[in-house]
Parts: sequence; structure tokens; C-alpha cells
Amino acid sequence: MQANLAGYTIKRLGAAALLLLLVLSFTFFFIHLAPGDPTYLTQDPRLGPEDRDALRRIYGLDRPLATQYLAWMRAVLLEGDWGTSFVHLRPAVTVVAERVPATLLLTGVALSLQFGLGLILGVVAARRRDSPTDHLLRLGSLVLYSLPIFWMGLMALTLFSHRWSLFPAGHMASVDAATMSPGARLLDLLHHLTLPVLVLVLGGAGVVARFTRNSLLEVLGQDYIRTARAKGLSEVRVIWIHAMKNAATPLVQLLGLSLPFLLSSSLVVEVVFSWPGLGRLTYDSILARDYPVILAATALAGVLVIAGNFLADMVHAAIDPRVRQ
Amino acid sequence: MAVLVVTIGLAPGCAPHEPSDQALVSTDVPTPGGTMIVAASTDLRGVNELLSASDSFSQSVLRLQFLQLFQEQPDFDQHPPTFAPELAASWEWSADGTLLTLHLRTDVRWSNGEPVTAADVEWTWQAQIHPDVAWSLADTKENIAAVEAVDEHTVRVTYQKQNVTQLADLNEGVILPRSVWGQLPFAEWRQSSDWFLDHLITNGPFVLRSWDRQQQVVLDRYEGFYKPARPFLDTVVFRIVPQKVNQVGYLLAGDVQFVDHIPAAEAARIASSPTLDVLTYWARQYDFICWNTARPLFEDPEIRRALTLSIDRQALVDALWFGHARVASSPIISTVWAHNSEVRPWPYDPEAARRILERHGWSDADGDGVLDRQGQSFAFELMTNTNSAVRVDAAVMIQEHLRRAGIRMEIRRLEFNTLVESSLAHDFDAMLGGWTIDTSMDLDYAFHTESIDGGYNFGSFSNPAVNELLDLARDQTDPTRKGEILGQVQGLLHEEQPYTFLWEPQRLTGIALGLRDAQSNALDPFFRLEDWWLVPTQ
Repeated sequence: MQANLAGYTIKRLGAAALLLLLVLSFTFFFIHLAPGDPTYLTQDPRLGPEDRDALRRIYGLDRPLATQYLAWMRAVLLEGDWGTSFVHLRPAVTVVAERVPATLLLTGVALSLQFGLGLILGVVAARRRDSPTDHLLRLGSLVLYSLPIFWMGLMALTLFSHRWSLFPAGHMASVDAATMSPGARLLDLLHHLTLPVLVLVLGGAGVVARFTRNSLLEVLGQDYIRTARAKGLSEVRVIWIHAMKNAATPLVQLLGLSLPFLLSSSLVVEVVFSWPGLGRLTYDSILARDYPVILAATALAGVLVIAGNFLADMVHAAIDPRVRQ
Repeated sequence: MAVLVVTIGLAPGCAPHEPSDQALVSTDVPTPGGTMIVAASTDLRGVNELLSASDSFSQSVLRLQFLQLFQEQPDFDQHPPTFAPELAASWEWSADGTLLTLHLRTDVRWSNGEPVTAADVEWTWQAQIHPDVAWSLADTKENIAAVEAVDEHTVRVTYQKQNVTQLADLNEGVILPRSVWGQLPFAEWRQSSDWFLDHLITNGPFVLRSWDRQQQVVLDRYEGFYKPARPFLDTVVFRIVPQKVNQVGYLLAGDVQFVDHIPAAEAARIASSPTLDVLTYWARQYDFICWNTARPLFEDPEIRRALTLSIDRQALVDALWFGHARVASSPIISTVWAHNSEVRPWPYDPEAARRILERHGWSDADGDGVLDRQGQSFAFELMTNTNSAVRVDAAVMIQEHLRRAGIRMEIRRLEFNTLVESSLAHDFDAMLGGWTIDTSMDLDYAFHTESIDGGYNFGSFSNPAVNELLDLARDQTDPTRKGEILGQVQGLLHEEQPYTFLWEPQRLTGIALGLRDAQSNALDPFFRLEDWWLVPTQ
């Protein structure tokens, strides 16, 4: 079994690396072929054609696209050099790396709460199938999932920040956070984290709840569950130990698939809540045609998404022997 | 000269109002101390202005930390702007006007304690024109042949020729610290933003305390600033808030005291707050429709004029700007000294437009509501940038105005880079855009034939008389004569209508009433920030 799992892992890792390479190559050509270039950042007539050409030469954009691609690929693969940001004039990797903690914090907390809350709600709905609670949970999750994240963010700001002043309207810290004690700073961070996480969780938890409910209902009708109940096991044990073990398989897959969705949602949330994360950086970089940052951010997002899916597949393979065949 | 602007406006939705059109100038005695919090849309790009000059916010923040030679005054409505002493305490011209001698202040020090000297001025000029630095405003130094340090506090500037923008050209850009930043070769500057931050020394009224990227920039008063007892404010915090709607929310909640560039639709709500006011001033900006004169549909000036007559521009101003704009008539806006006030905006006159079009053979022969001529419908596409709600709304209104005149217009909304690429390639019928102008009054960028290839004459407009006058204006040394020539150019452009000039907007700034002596103006939203002060809270 271990040999099977190892072989499967190696195969999946190779496919993941190839996929990442393809994604990056596609992004490279796509972004370079899009209209405009970094010198379009300002339309100042004092920046004449010669000045723009000089900037293109400094950025290496005066060479044929294939040459640029090969040079970039060589630098990335052999030297780990992702280039210098045209906007920030710093290594693209540094620019991206600085934003990772903020996005990981936001998405990590949101993902945990999304799945925690979704699991509980899904179990409740499955246990009370076709009851008013079940209908309410299903309808509520559908409504929340259907609402645009941008709109939810603005509503959250309007109500909880502007109208009732319960939470800050944005940012990761208060103006005077630097003068606070470590404990107060942590509380300040949690205070700032609440609204953006709430917006991300509300939409996603409903999906998890619906998945959990459907998956659990399938399992609850099976013979081994009836046997467990007949043996006198408590309902908590039947649901959370026996039923969830099998019902968890699609949820693990969902977890892997949630990461790209959460990363794209966090872009919107980061803009609305002035959160200094990767999504906002990527968005700004695309508008500014800051190719090195776009590619570094794409690589990181790609690694996270592929890693999420890879881990989901691994867990799936570990709990389901059929996958390893 | 001008900058193509991306106006990010918000949809309107409230009633007109009467905000303050004066700075909140106080008769009270200024109180030192306090922290002013500003909401800013973008983050600082870096601390070296030569590498981040394309960003107006970065430029504003850096000019609070670094001095220029002079301070341009906001008196450009009556004559070319004058300049007040700043780092240069005094100056004198040679008889032929090509040699300028500057006498620098002797009491200005960098934040590391070293004096600011003539060597800094000379080296800054070298950096500004160095090809490896590739400063976006290097062209402003074209007329300067040499900058030399005569002694520690005397600088001699040699110009190629005399013209009316010599001081403005020299003044473009702040003076940088040679002794520290001179250690890094110019060739490495564009990879070394962090190096400048690590080696930051400044000489302006404020010093950088901290910069949390995409969060906030914090400036403290510079204790060694040469002006006694200035600045009044202890600290200025720039909170980065990308969304304008959130900036307004911060202002209304009292979390910030200053929001520049508020949407006209929000002005009434802010002005009605007991703790806030709205400052207004005329921006040096105008919006326009550029007609692609290389396309047969727009090659005739009379047809372009008919299009202008068909668009109710006052209705656009009323609906979209709530009275915070006026109909434009010229590329030199009406608050600038060289504006030709005899050029009046063409009226909204659909009947006159119809007559012109009929004269040119356009009529609705097939009765489908659209004018046609020799089987061709009068139909075209107008492109604009998608992130400007005001422009998108204006395009929809213009579409309706033209529909009434029997002209079919499709709207094409484009991302800004795509819009620029299409404009530079002259690949469009009509384009709705805007320019921010400075006080040099150079109109070559958009209207000279030489600017068609590689320049910003997007519509390929070409008129020998306009070219001749622009060439003549360029070499003028007498501002009055230059004003007369530019007046003639404006008259010709009025007749030719390569652009339909839409509006000149006001710039609106939301401000807390406790903030006094704020002097925001079209030159700089933080003009003389060292004189601003906060009423102490009880």
C-alpha cells in the first residue's frame, strides 16, 4: 500500500510541476500580449517616445518576446530570480512575499471558520432533513452564496463600521498600533480581521453546509450506520465518527477546490477592506502591467492552488484505496 | 503640457449644495501639535522622486520631505506663475536671459545634519538627465545646458535659449542628497528602491517615520527645518484606502480629517455634517471627445462642429457634476492666464447642427431614424475608460443626445491601458478622455502635426496655421505675446473642433473643521502644509 501511495505521490508531483510551468508560460505570453506596457502608467506628454524607449530598454522589453521568455525562464529556473518590479523597483519576490502573511492570515482564518461552521450547519441540516431548520439552512446558504462578495463587503462596512461603529472600516491595524502592547496589538488585529473574515465565511460556509448535508444523507442511509445505531452507539459517535469518516471524502475535495475560490474572493475583500494582501497587489500589478510581480504572484497562487488540490488528492488517496489503483 | 487622466468618479445621487470655495483660513492663533490623518487612494511608490514622479500622490508626499529650489505660486490665473524663494533665497539673470545665478539658503540642513549645498543642486540635475535614471520628466531639462556649483551656496545655470518657462523647468523635481545617494551608481537606481529607503535623508518640513506598505505612511515634523516654529503639525498619517466610497466613510466617521478628490455626488452629504466642510477649487483639467480626423466621417471641421452643437454639455455638467464643473471651450482652461475668454463654448443647438449636416448631404432618407448619405449611415463608436463612472455616464447621455440628432453612437468601454494603446495607434472613431495641464501652456502634445506619430495627437489633427502658431509660441520670451499667439490657436481650435471640449471640473476636498489654514490648490493638495494646524480637542 505504501509503495502504491509513493508512486501515486511522485506521479502527482510531476504533473503539478508541469501544470505550474504551463500556467506561468501561459500567463507570461498572455500578459505581454495584452494591450499596453509598463510605460503607459502615465500619459505625460513630457515622457516622449525616446524616454519610453529608454524605459523599455532598461526593463528589457525591447527584445523579441521569445527572447524575453527564455531569459526569464532561465533566470527563474537556474537563479531563482523573478526580476525587479517595474513599479516598486524592488525584487518581485520581495514585493510578493511581503503580502503573503496578510493573505494567508485572512484566507486561513476564513477557510477554517468556513469549514467549521459549514460542517456544523450541514450536520444539523442532515439530522433534521426536510424540517423547517433544514429548509431555512438550505435557503439561507443559497442566498448567501448568491450574493456578490463586493456587495456583501460594502454592506458589512455600511452597517457594522459606518453606522454602528462596531468594527474598523479596513486595514490590518489602527493608526497607533505601533505604540500598543503585544496583547493589545493582537486584539487590534482580530478587531480588524473580523469584518473581512465574516464576508468571506458567510458565502463559503453555505456551500460547505450543503455539501456536508448531501454527503451525510447518502451515508446515513447505509447499512453500517444502521448497525452502529443498533449496537447502541450514541448519535454523536454515529454521526461524527462513523458517518463523517465516509462523508468526508467529497469535503476533502471541496477543501482543495475552495482555495482558488478563496484567493479570488480575497482579492475583492482586500480592495474593499484596504487589506494589504496578495490579491490587491496582483490586481494593481495587472493594471500597471508590472510583469515580474504578476508572474511571481501567479506562481505563488498557482503553487497554493496546486498544493491544495494535491493535498486533497493525497488525503483522498490515503482514505480511499480505490484511488491509488 | 498635460497628463492624460483617469477620472474615477462615482455615480451621483444627491442635491446641489454650497460648499466653501475658500481655504479654511483661520483668524485664530495657530496651535502647534496634533496628528492629521489623510485618506489616500494609492500607496507611496518609493522615496526617490526621480523614480516615482509618474505618481502624483508619491510626488505630493515626497515634496513634504524634500525641498525644491522655488515654490511655484497658485497665481497662474492672471499671468504665468510666479515663484517664491525656497531653497534658493535669491537669484539674478544675465542681460540676455540665458544665465541664472542662484544664491542658496545657508541654514538648510539634511536630516543627518549636513548642510544642503550647491553640489547637491548640480548633482541632482545630473541625475535628472541621466539616461539610466530615465526620469519621466527629464524633458523639462532640455533647455538647460549646464548647472554648476560656483561655491558652497551659489549655483550657476546656463540655458540654451531664453523662454517663458525657464524657472519652471529648473524647478521641476526636488533637490536630492548627493553625499549619501551619490554613492549608488545611476545604473543601479532602477533596481534599488529599498536602498534609497535605507539611506533616506531629507530636508523638507517633514521626515518619514514609518511606511507600512499598503497600510499607511507616517511623517513627523522635522525638528531641524529651516523655518522657525514650522511645521505646526506633529504628525501626518496617510492611510491607504483604495476605494473612494470608503474614504468618504472614514471622513464621515471622523477617522480621517482630509480626503482629496471627493466625488461631486458626495459633496452635499459631507458639507451637511456639522464637523466637516468641503473645499473647492478649479482643477487644471478638462475632459473632451477627440474625433479621429483621419476617418472620413470626422475629416470635415463643419461636421465636427455639428457634433458639438448636438451635445447638450450643460446638461452633462448639471447631471454629472452637480454644479462643480463648467462647460469647456478650449484646451487652455478658463482659470489659466492664457485662456482666450473671447472663445465661448458652442451652444447646444440641434437645429443648427441639423442644417450643417443637411448641407453636407446627411438626411434620414430611409426613415430609420439614423442619418445616411449615399447608403452609409452616420454611425460611429465612442471609446472611454471603464473605471471612470463620470465618463461612462456622460457617454450614455451623449449617445442619447446624438440619437435625437439622428446619429448612432456605440459605446466601447475599455481598460485604461487598452484605451491608451488604441489612442496612440489612432485606432478609434472617437475617444472620451481628459487632460490635466500644467502652466507651461504647451499645446503641441495634442494639436501639432508632429505629435501624430509618437505623440499624443490621437485624432491625427493637422492644421498648418495651428502648427505655425504653436511653433511661434514655443520660442516666445514675452508672456504677453505668447498669450496672444495662444489666443489665436484657441480661436482656430474652436472653429476646427478636433476636440469637443466637454467640461472643466472643480476639485473637491473633504476636510474636518478642526483643520485650519488648509491651502489646497490646483498645484498641490498639501500646499504649504507646514502652515496648517489642528484645533486642539477638549
